[in-house]
Amino acid sequence: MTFSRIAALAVLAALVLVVVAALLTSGDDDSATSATAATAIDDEATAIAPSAQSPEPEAPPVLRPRPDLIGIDGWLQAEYDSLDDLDGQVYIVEFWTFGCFNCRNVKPHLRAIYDRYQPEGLEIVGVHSPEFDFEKDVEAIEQAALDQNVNWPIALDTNKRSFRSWQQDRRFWPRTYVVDQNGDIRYDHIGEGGYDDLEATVAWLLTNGA
Amino acid sequence: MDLFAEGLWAIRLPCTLALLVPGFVPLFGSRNRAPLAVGFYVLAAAAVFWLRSTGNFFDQPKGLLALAVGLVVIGLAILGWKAPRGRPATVAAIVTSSGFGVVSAWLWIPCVGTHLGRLLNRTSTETWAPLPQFAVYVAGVCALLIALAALPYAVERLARFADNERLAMVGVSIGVAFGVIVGVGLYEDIVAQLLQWSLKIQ
Repeated sequence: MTFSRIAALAVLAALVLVVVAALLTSGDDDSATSATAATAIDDEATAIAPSAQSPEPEAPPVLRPRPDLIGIDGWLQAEYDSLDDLDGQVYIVEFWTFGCFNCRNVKPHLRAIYDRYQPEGLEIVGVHSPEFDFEKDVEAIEQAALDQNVNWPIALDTNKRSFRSWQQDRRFWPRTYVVDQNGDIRYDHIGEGGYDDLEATVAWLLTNGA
Repeated sequence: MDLFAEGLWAIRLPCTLALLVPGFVPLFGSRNRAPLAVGFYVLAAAAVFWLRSTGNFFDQPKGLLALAVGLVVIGLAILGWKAPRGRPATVAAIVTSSGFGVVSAWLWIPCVGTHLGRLLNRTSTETWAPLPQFAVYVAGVCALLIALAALPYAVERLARFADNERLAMVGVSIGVAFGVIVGVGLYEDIVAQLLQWSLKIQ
């Protein structure tokens, strides 16, 4: 048996092992975003709540002042002139687009947090920044909001001006920020996940103020 | 492992095709140097993806720049195919596969899941440390290419596919088609169409 054959067999064997292990792992991960996610999230949120309200939680760091939204073509499910209308409130700003799979996976988690903290003053602003032309259709965005149970205000960032100004050099969907009562960004997260930290940040700000 | 799994699992999403499909050019088009070519493809794509995540890479090419990139891509595909055997073929395989890796990762808009998201968040505070993990993620996305590159060397009956003229033609055809699509500005439309189809299926 030649060296190249041994090497190739070793690569394939390693790959098969890793793929099997990986598929098993990702099967576990995927359950968090399945149709039954809502129940799982409720359980998770209940489990998080005590730690979020523990006696001395750490204050989330001040990252930078939030920029304003620019180039917004309109709003769905609310009518704001600018984010200044939300001054003094804690709010989440999520950059998303309805065709993005990972943005969809974030929605049940955001909704659970919204349901839990909206009575305490939390607001969410979903900034819809379309990646492709077909995602610019307002009717399609409305339908997607309905399908994905997005019941918070949506700013239409059709030309992605806010998407660029908020994200500058590193631009991804989804991206989630938490803005405190003073208008400072206290949480910044790219992609799915980080829900525990997101909720802890919101809870801390609502409890302790900026 | 989680990162590799997420890359592998992303194969079912259309966003991943944008990185996977151009990888068939080094796989098929580099004649009997597929393992080397696929390796360089993965490394180049990972490096560019990492650079983009740190905010140190160019915006996606548009207009004349896209045309230039498309022409370079076509040239690279032909270079890998036409290079004389021996050492020039090895050099051509490395150049072609690295070039395709760079362009694919430049144009690619990844699906950012939990683990990739964690990695991207890390790059805001750590620049170099996450680099190997980008390679792990891209290797997960390209696991199919890696397996196909190794197969002819592992299984004797498939050895003839290691250096096959027809496969090389398939490879160079994919490369030229990719170059034309990028050059004439159809790349985004095609990815959008794929996404729309997959949204309807789901």
